[in-house]
Amino acid sequence: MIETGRAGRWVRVAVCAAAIVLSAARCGRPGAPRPSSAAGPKSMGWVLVDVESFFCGACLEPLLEFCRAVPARIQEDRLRGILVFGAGSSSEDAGIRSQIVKAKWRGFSQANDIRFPALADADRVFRGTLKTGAGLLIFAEETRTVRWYPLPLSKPRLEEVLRILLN
Amino acid sequence: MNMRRIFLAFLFAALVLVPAYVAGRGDAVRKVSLEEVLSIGGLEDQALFQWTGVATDGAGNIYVLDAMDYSLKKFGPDGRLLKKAGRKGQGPGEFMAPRLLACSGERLYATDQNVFGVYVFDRELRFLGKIPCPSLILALAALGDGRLAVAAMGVGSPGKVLVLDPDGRVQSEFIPSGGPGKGVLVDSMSFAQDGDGQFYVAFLFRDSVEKWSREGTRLWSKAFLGQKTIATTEVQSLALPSETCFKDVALDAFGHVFVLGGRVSKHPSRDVYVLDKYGALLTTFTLPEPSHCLHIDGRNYLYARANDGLTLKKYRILYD
Repeated sequence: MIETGRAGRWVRVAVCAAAIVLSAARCGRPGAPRPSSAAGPKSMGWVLVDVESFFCGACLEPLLEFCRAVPARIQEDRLRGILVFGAGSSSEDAGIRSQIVKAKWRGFSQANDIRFPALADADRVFRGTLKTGAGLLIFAEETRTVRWYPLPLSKPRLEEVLRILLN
Repeated sequence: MNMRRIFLAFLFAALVLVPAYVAGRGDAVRKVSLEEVLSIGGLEDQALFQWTGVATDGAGNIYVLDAMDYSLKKFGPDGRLLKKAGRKGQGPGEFMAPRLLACSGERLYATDQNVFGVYVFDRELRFLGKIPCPSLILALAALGDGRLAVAAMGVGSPGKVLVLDPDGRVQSEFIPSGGPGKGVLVDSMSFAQDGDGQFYVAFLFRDSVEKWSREGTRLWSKAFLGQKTIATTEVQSLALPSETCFKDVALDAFGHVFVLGGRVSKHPSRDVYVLDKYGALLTTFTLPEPSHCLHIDGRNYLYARANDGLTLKKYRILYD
């Protein structure tokens, strides 16, 4: 028998609200409470690096500055590098160029204590994206948005990125 | 005892001088080709990441500066890594942007792109000190008696070649002209010095190779690329030269001048122009891969870049 009194209505409202909240949490809807489980979605960042800048110390200094500000654990968990080829690289040698830039990155990242792994943009998807030596593509779970941050970052922008990545 | 000395001298001449003469044939060279004899560094072995400067000693050891991991490395004649020194920094023995390297006797001389001076190491890569220099350095040669020759960068003034004593005092200087054109970096050059103390200068952004006496007199000037003007590009409202003509110059044991062409060559950064000591073009040949520099040791082995700096190749020079 279905309870139709005032108390029954409150029970139904509470059950519906709980279902909506749980559903929203699973879908990551804006404003929904964040899941406490570590397995839940996390904000991520892609660090785009122009490999032509490897030879220009000043060009990559903003990247190193950013890396110094991000804790090693966050770099390892939340960041991935994308090594972007410059216009001078022909498509015919994409395979060998990918191997070369990944090898260079190993030396550069070890010497500068950079912790995030990097992948080569073998199909030139990101060519033309970078006007400076490096930039960040941040996937913010909280707001379900993707934001672009060219490096160097101002202090407020750095704090914003760190807040997103630490969330 | 005397007979023994004469015999040894004769043996030396037979073993060293005669093959050298046959191989080199003075200035009668019509063709030069390369035979690869050693390759250091590759895609997986992490021996080199982006080498910049190279030098060799009389024992066949190879010394390399690596800009990617801020290091100075010593390889044996067989290409095995023997020692590594240096790290990122501005302290003794540290580098921010290692560039040029030269070896003379027991000493190695290294430059850092943004440092006014030359770092000195011994052949075991121990840091010994720094020789001051009044400007940034674009080219470097060890003259064998503790003195150094450097190409000093000119900003607002022409670039110069300076000869420094072991304490960094300027002993002599001259200003290679290189032809028309003024501005930042247009005087960038590389050079090599022969046994008579004469300089061969190749300009990075000018179609000009010159020979200068040790007293600072220009002996000849040659152009090979048909470049009449200096191409520039604007970087932050500064007009900077953009098209490289000649990247490096080196001498072989016979006094031939090897000039590495730059971006405007038919095969960019691969064409090598071989001149005699009077500036006559004897022949050209093409490196298998683009290189930023050339080094030729006392036994006529040529060293150049491959795999965009991951690999150092050593070639035997074959003369015809």
